[in-house]
Amino acid sequence: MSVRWNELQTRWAAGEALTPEEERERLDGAHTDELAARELALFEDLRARGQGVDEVPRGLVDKVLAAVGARPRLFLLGPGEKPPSAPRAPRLRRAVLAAGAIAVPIAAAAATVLLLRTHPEPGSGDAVAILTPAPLARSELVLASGEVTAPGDARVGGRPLATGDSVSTGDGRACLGIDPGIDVCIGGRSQIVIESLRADSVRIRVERGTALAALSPREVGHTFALTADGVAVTAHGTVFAVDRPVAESLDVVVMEGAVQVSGNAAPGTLVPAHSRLAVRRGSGQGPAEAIGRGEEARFWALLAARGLWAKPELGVLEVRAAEPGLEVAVDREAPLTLPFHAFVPAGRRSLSLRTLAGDELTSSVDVVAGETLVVDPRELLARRALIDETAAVPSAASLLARARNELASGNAHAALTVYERLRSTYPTSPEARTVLVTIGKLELDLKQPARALKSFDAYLAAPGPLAPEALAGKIRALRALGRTADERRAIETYLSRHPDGFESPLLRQRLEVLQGR
Amino acid sequence: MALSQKPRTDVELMAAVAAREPAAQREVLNRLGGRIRKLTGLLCRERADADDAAQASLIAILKSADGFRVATSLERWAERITIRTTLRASRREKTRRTLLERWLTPNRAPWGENAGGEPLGLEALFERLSPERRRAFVLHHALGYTIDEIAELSETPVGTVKDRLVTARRELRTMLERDARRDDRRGAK
Repeated sequence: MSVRWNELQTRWAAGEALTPEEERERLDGAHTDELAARELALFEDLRARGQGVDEVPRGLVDKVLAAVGARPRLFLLGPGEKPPSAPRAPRLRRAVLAAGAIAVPIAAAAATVLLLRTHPEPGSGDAVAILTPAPLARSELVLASGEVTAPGDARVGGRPLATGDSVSTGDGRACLGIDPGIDVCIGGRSQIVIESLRADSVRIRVERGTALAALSPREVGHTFALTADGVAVTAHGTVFAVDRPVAESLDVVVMEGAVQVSGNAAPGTLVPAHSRLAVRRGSGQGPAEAIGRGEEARFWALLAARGLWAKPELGVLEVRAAEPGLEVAVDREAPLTLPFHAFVPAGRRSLSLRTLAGDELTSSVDVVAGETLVVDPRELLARRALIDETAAVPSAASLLARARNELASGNAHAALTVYERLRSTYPTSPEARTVLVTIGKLELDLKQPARALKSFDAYLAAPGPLAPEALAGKIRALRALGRTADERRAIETYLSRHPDGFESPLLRQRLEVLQGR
Repeated sequence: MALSQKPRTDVELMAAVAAREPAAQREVLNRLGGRIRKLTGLLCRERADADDAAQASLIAILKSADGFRVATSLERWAERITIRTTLRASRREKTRRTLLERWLTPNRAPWGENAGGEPLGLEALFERLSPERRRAFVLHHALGYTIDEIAELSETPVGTVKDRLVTARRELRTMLERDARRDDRRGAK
């Protein structure tokens, strides 16, 4: 293996970018050197091994699903019925949102089967069917922001909502979660009434304003509908909204999937995604029209905070009202008006308060599962003012320590920023001179050889104990810049000043190469 | 009226995973499982360790679903979780391999030799490398991660990563040179 090829290969293997000429030279080395050819072949073999997939060990998928605890699905069977067979695992296809009357089989990770058995009467050989009332879906308030009116004890974290309950808003928003997999959110100046919570037929009546529903695909035979004034909008695994600005008119807007609009003696109409259907009292239904993204966005905004109550481990976060115009955003979700009540995932949450003037304060709060955390924004704002008053400029030593921490964590950019802040804040300190060498090395790592050269030259202008390192860094910077003649001179300087220096053996080799050109 | 059937985007899919929808969870596992196992197979010495690491990584992927953002490729995002999970697990486990164990293990050639006379390959190289050097080597040359990315994923300084790569390459060169000298001796006989 030639010295030159070895040097190129070492640099390439260490992740350094070679120039096109150097790369060609490295690859050409395989033609004339058998060892080089074998080495390149091994690297090519390694690269090939990184492609593709391996066979998944038997049972791994089921073990993982069991470990994360996928929600079981309950299947209610009648006498003589058999449980549905588990569908085959889909190949690498994306699932399709349900549309129309197509039943989407749901692959259950752990399906719990509830079997109704008939109990024969004594002396009778015939089975007797046991009739049970249809189960009810759980529904509860999961978010209340601004002016929200709900039954007194049905607040967020309180009792579940019941059939006949009403939720209304003034200048505010609210969302209901209906298990399984249905979120209904209402905008400002809106009112909904729960008509039915039967698991096989959930119906919410829109009295006024805007209600948006987002739902996962329904079980076979299970439907969800938003109703208004005799019109039913039935979903099939969709995101859609019913907008009722005045009593005589109703708009149905579908964002995903499809809904069936029926009622008022009119035949059912299937409304597809990205469409609006207007229903007017007296004049019936018009044709479905396409709607633009801008208008859809107005409805999507109602779902903006949906991620907050998606997890099973939840606590309740309550943020009290404070100065007018104050908004709160949890975990960088969309900002909402105060007062604010919502289910949020248990654990550390970020809370951002934004004033009318545009000032923002971000804090962290710890929410415990099953408990309510009450936050008074006035306390947070007062605490921030105190911190601003007492904030002190960090010392050079503390900046140095911070930079070294960033370096130890591998955060080169962050370390560089702190070093540069040290130099600008304490330009005449001993630390400011010393860190020039480290700054230069970081700039080399970040592929900034021109800046690195300036840093090393700045240190070498009044050299200290790190002079050998600075000179070695300067040599690397010159080589990266392609300034071969300057590089050679710098190496000669290094070898004359530091003949037994750490870099000397490598630099002598490099000098031979340069002199051989 | 034609029904609209829109496949789920990766963001929608992972949102469903975050909501613990079983179908979505299984879909993600089937889609990523083979690739994740490939990664752990490259990063771990033993097959059993690779299987365990794959399982732990897939669990971590499902549990982190709500952190998936639209600007990222799902596969790349899952790879990064796998690498972090595998590296952290290996730091926690106790090293039981000793030189004595290597000598007593059946079918393991002693260090530096190839009893079968076959050309030395990557397995022989991996045997010589410490776990940290092997991982840096695999992450860069097999999986294409940059030095900065490896430093961030393995929580080590950039300089240390480079040093590991240089040392790994030096080991490879030494191995090839010894092998060549042995071939020369055999040829001379």
